[in-house]
Amino acid sequence: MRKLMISLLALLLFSAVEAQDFINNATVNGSFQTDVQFYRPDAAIGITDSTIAGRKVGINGFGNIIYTLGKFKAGMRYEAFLGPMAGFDPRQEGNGFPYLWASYSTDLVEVTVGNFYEQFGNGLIFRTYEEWTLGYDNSMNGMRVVLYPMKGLTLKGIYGTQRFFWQKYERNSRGLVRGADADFNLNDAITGWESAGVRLSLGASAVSKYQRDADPIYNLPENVGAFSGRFNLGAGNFNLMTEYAYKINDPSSSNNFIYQEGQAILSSLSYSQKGLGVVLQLKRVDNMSFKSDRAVSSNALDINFLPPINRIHAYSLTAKYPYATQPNGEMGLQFQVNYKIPKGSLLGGKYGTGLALNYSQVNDIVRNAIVDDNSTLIGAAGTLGYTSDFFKVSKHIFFRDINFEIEKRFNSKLKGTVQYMNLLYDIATIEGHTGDPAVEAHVGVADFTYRLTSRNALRVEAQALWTKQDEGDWAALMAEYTIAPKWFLAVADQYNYGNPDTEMRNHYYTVSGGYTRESTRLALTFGRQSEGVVCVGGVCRQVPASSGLTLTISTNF
Amino acid sequence: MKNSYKNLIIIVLVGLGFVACDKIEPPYKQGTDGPVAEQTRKVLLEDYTGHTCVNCPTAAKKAVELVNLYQGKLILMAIHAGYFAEPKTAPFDADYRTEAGNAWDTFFGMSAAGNPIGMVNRQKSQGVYTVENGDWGSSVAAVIEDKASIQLEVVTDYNTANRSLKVDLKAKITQALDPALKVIACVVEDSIVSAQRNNDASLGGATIPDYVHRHMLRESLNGSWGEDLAMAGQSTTGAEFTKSYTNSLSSVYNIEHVSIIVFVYNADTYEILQVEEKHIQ
Amino acid sequence: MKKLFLLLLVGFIGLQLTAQESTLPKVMIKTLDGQSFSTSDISNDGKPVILSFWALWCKPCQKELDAFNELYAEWQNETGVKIYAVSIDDSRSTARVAPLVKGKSWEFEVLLDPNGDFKRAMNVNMIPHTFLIDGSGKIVSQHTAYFDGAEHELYEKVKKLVGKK
Repeated sequence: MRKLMISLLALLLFSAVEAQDFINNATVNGSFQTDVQFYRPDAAIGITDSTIAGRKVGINGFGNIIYTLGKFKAGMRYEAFLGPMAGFDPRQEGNGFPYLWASYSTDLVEVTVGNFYEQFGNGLIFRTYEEWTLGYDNSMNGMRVVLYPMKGLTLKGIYGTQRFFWQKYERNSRGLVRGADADFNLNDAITGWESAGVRLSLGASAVSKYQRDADPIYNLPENVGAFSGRFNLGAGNFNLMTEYAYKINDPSSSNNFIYQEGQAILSSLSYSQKGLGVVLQLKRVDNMSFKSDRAVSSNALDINFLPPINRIHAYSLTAKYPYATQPNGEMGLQFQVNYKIPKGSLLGGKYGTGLALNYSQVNDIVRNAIVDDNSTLIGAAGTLGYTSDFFKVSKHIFFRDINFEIEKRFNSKLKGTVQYMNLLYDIATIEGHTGDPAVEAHVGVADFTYRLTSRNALRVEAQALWTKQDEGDWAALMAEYTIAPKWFLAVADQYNYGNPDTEMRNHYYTVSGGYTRESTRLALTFGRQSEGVVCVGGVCRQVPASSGLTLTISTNF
Repeated sequence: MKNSYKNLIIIVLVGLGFVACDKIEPPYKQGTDGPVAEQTRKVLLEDYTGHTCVNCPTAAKKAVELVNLYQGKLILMAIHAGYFAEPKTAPFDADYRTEAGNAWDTFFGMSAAGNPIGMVNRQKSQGVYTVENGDWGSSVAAVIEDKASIQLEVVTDYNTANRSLKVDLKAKITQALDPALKVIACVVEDSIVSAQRNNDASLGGATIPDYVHRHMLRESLNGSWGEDLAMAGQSTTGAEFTKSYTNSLSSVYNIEHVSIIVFVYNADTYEILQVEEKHIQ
Repeated sequence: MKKLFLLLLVGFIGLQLTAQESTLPKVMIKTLDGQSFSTSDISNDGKPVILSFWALWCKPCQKELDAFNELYAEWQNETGVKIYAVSIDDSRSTARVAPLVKGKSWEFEVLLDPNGDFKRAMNVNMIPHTFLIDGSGKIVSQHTAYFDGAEHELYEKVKKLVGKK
């Protein structure tokens, strides 16, 4: 594939294009980022010389360049993890060019060879993406063709293999992925509908993976297909979106080699007008893990993306217990209201007051044994696994989050946000702490910003988390001084004062400062990082505690 | 416009061709197609595990299933190493880690990739030694029919009175080999009953207090990396090499369940060329 | 070898082009009501455009956009500047973007980039990341991070572009 790409690149650059244009009319842009961590032993939080194991420095860095010449584009990204920073998958260690591509596009067609990122619909059967900060990348290496045959119609075809850290694809080492998607927007396509009050678009996709079956025990399907259909209907202030996906039998490590088919449905209904937004989302997932290597159970090689629909929190303690989709089965609901009390009203005051209410809950699905006499265990490997009633909800709650937020500007200098969150978190299921009781927590946040002058501001953030489970109570305080648009300095402490193990009642303090000029940013952080969990695409990863100095440099050009 | 519709139809047809599906009808498990052809090369499956690793019992079950399938051709060794093998508060206070196991775990990058994880004959594939448990079956199947180039014979002599064990091994080269060879001899104990974390409902609850740990590595008789068996170029067809070890076995071991696993590996690539297991009683 | 070749090639081009100003790449993204939108349609009749990347999970981004929103009417009157806010939320939360935008009464155009295609084409790594584009579609400056008060500095640049001091 790389060879093909390079020849194409060379061909396009040197024959089709005159050397003059190739320099004068082209543009190049790109970005660089390096994060360097220097670790030190810190016995209080359990970091000793032996846990550091000689790895005193962690470096993650990348450089990305995009070359554009009219309809032709090419790009590449260099990555280096030497060695990866604490909390990143050790298989990431290495360096090279994992992302190389060239594309040619006209109004009718767009062809990409090399690596690419793509998503069909909501991603229920296909999504490749990259999250640098989380160390996730499942990019395709192959070919993509996008066609725009008529106004409102988009057709996509993809073919290739997926990135798996630095392991190169070899014959039969992992699956091939191929797929097609059609997206049809009726308002764009039909003359006279352009400005109709009702907006409708339809979409359908199909994806198939091929992986050889060499297993001595199981008869495994070598071609696994998945299909999905979707629509988006808008009328006035209402919008309704629904996508349904189906996958044929796909026994894998993730589902313990059961031959059940998979299903997923995601639906959302929203209403919005000036000052008011309401959204209700429903989701059901049943046996929908879809990876291009059936043996991989870790956080890699996902073909699809099953979005967790709960609110993504932005404060450290509200985000301490993040939910990850359970691809083997879950039913979820999410409801959110955003309301702005108008300016000048009794509660709105001079500037108006923002309110947000959010409720989300995810339960398990109900599974029944296939044979009535219960002779076959539910989920036993090498069987159909179970049957499941589409509409039945299990009493087992994986996750529940009720939160309320008020945002208020008091005068031209002071504004603030307060938030309350009530959480139920099945840590045994989500983080694999089998046997541990579910975490029931209350979290409170107050975040106030005071503008001293038009460019200098002080922000103070106070948080508390109360729970009797897991690590017990936490409190956090942060103060940040900023001089717009260039400087910031912050001090923060997280204190695990309620840890049931009194030895572990630690302070996790940090001091950080940074300088930003245009799009160049330099930041320095010194302190401790508490153990935590990061979740990507439905799978969570434990990030160990660390202590030391972190330097971040990034720039764009 | 007409042309684009034609293109569209072609694309749709090609698209449909892409998504061929294999719907599998029961039975989903293959019957054994009779005994495997008579071979002399055996395969070592190493299962890197830990007593607080919740996903490990499922993998261990699969390993035993494979051992049963290949009757005597596949040898299993479970190695407790890494974070999940660390002793914790009771009932997880036992320490089943070994010096050799820790060294291998670090060197081959096993627990770092996440337990359960394994190796099949310590073969490197795409730059890594690790084999995810879902691939154990296919990785074993890929090499189990290979011809052997070494014949291994292990003779043990155990003295019940003073728990002293003598191991004599003889390696006969049946097909000339270029690289230097090394040999490792390990003590393995089967069926150790001790607590295990679990999330496989078909095996038990979240903590199984009386879990049966199978084929657990206890110690190496000749160091983590063994010793030289043959220098490069010495392994000509018909050449024979012998080694002998004497060791006193710990009183903790249940002698009835103890066996010796001996394996010869390529000193350059670490690939295991032949392995043999011998019960001492 | 291949890598070296590519690196040299692009490095060479890069050196030749340091003075060349970038324009917006053409990427297909979505509007809030799910319609396709080509980023080449981002324009403002010869007046400047502010393009800001944000997400629901990014507090500073929302602070920046809130600050823009408070001053938007005034800015538009004085300079005619237009703001586009591109949400990089993925399918986890795209459905919640429109209600939040309406709930907050943001007056400017909001677009959805659910798989980060536009974000990647613009080399955006950290958000908030804000671009200032002149009347001819050239990117004249860009800035990452938002600190309270930074909107004034940005607006000074906008005023310079339209020739007001």
